Amino acid sequence: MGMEKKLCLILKRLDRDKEIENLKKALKRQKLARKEAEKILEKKSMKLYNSNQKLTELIANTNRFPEENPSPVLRFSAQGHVLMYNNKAGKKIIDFLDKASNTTKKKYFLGQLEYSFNEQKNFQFELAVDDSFFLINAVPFQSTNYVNIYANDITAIKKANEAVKQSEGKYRGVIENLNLGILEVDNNDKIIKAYPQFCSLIGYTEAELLGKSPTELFLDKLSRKIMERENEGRLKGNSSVYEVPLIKKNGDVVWVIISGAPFYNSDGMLEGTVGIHLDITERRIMEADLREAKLKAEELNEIKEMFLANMSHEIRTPMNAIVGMSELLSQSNLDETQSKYLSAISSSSKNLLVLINDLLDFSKIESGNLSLEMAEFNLNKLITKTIETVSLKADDNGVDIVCEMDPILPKMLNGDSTRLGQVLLNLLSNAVKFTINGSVKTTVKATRTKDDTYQITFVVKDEGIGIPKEELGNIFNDFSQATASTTRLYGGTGLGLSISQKIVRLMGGELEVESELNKGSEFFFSIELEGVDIDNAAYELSDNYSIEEDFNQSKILLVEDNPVNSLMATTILEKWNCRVDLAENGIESIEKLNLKSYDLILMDMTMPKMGGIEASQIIRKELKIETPIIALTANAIKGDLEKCVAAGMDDYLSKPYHQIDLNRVLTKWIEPNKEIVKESLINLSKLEEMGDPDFLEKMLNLFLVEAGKDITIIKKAIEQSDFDQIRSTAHKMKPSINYICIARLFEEVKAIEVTETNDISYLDRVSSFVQDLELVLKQLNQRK
Amino acid sequence: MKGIVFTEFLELVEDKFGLEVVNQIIDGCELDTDGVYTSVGTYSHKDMFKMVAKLSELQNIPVPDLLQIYGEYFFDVLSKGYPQFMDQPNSFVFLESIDNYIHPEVLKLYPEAELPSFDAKMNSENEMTLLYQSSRKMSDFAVGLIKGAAGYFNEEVIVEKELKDGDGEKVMLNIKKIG
Repeated sequence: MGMEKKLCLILKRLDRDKEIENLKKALKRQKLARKEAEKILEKKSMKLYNSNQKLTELIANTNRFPEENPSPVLRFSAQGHVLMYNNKAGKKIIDFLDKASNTTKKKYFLGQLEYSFNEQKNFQFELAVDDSFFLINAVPFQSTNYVNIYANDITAIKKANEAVKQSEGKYRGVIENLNLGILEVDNNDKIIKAYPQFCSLIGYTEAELLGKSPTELFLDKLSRKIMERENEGRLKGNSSVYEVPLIKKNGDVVWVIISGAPFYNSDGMLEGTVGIHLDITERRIMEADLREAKLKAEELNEIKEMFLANMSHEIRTPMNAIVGMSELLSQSNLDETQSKYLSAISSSSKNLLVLINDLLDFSKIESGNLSLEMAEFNLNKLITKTIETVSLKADDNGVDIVCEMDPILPKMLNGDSTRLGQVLLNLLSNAVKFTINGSVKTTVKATRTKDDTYQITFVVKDEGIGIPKEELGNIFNDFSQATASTTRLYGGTGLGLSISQKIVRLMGGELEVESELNKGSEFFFSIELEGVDIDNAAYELSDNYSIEEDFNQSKILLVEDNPVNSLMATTILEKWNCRVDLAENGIESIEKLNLKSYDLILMDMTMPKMGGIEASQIIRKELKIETPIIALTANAIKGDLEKCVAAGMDDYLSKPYHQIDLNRVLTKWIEPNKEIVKESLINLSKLEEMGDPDFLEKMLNLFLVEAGKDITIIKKAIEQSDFDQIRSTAHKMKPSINYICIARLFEEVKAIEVTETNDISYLDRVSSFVQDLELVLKQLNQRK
Repeated sequence: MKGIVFTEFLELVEDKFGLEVVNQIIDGCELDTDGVYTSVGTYSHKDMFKMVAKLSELQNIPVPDLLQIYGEYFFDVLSKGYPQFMDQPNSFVFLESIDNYIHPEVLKLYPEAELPSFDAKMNSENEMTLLYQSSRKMSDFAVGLIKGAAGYFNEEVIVEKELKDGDGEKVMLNIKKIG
């Protein structure tokens, strides 16, 4: 082998050695790297193991059995067996669910359980166990192959819900059976719900109504306006009740009363309105019938009143003639028998007049037309006059009338003296009528309630026959008298007390009675009246009015169609020095007035061709004549005076009238001839010397009352030739005549008292004295 | 730095230059591990730099070129090892998913890993920028990886580097598709 070859081999060996060296190094690195990798992997797998341990623990924790849950919790195997349960799960529910019973409920429960497990879904269902209800929440755990059951006891909630449902059902039932149609409408006037009763009321089915506008469907134009207004209010939250006619499906109209109220959703937002409809068609028909009936009744009543007015006119006209003519006749020369007959005619006609007045008052009260006319009046005089009116009868029955007035009463009061007088007259005349030989006592007591108001109690007590207890309750009834025999014995319509009671009630009082059979009766009532300041008191008409007999050729136009009445009036007027022209109707009166002027016109109301009202209107408006016109009216119905005043008339005389009434009217409207008063018969110097004008006035007023009474008594005594009565009255009058009259009259009254002779000349002297006294009263009145 | 970067590097060197060069590199550098690396371990990135610098010296090839070449090669390794990340329509969408998806998932597996961030911004259909940020300053390796990704999706790209600070911790990479 050559050197080159050897060197080559050495080099190759060296290369191979080098290569081996490199490979060894690489191999060593690879071994070390593998070991390191194994270490790292060991570490990683350890770490993985630990993580897995932690994860398992975590899952176990998550699925831990909730022992302390406040509700029953049970763990079921997928096969439906109870694995675990907490202490809240009572024996009842465990037994129920675990029992191998085959009840439907158990099957249902297992079915739910299976579903929950298979679907791996939380699942909720309700389960009833005996009396309890549970809301079961099933939570499946597939990894662990079981289902947790959370059972919440919802018995209380269930029961409350049941109660609510029941009560709702109950009220729904009640409402639906109430015959009330209920309709729910939303805020856009669209029907949301229509209850069966409403559907049957309106004739549509609910399906036909839903979504429709009730306004367009049920209402005519007029009702729409009402409804729209009501709906606006309802949408504002106001409830309301109103009546409207609804148009039914078949076109008929059904009247309903609607009670509407807003309703709100659970958020408190206004959702719509609910209307409750009650069918009032029947009622509407009845109301219409009633209205018609009422109109008819009112019409009939008017006819009745007209009839009464006409009848009263028809009766009063002849009565006027009878009363007037009797009066005229009594002033002529009559023998004793004629006087007696005439007196009978006169009293009968007066009685008849009372009866007619009673009937008229009664019908006025019945028709509600009786009203009080307030004016100032003197109560003292009113009572005196009333007593005077019954004094004749009192004397006949041997009745002594006593009157006691409360001194605190003011002289003048404000009230309806006519009606009060009527009541007092009725009570007094009854008292006198039913008393024989006894006394009747009138007491007026007063207490001041306010500054100028007085509570005044009127008591009329008699010693008459009395009223049986069982009849006491009836005597104020219409047409009622204590016993049937009363009418036979005492007469009367039985209306007097009934009318009196009604008048007293109108005045705010109550007429009451106490009575003992055969001992007497006591009627009393209490009313409130206002006192009038004496300075403000209006001119007071004296009740001791004396007739003015000279009207100094005053020109009177009498418009009257009835010849008897005009004859009577003419006769009276001419007696009083009047010149009378007669017109038989309104047209004639106008003709007369065109020719001549008059001082006064007396105008009848009801006449042929032209009546008094029309004539007066023409006289005032067309002729422009201001002559006072006095209406002569027999129509004593309320409203007549108003008609007269409206026609331009000044005053009225209610027929039949007495001479004194006519005289008063003449005095009021014509200036009488004052020259007639010759010498003054009064002398007040003694009173004036006392320097107390109030006392003077009181004395004069007292004298006017007392002397008036005394004159009546004396006049009657003259008629009956009761000399003792004349003397005792003269004795009583003596002191006041001394203070008020001239000395001659004082001497005269003294003479009358002491003169012993009982003959005609004595009576003449007394009559003359009475005439003088009447003149004194007149002069005293004129003095004012 | 993950061990796979080292093992793949040394394998590539052995492939291209032979075991002799591998031994020269390992012997020539003072390495913490004496050249022992396993892909599941984690090692200092300084060793990586030392080895790349040694290879550059031995073979007379610049470091950036070496890093780029290695990047391209390494992407191929990754795409085969982790195909679940590759299910994307194109390279741009893939690159965009690094910061949002891939790196968060890597951190789940290797919580100790220190990863660069890639802020992606699409400029147009064919142009995007990635802002590379890493204390390792291995943007050239990143460029190689990007090119590797483009190759994977059968695309060709040009990557321009723009240093955003002096030493390469923050580098703007402009990527343009061509062809």
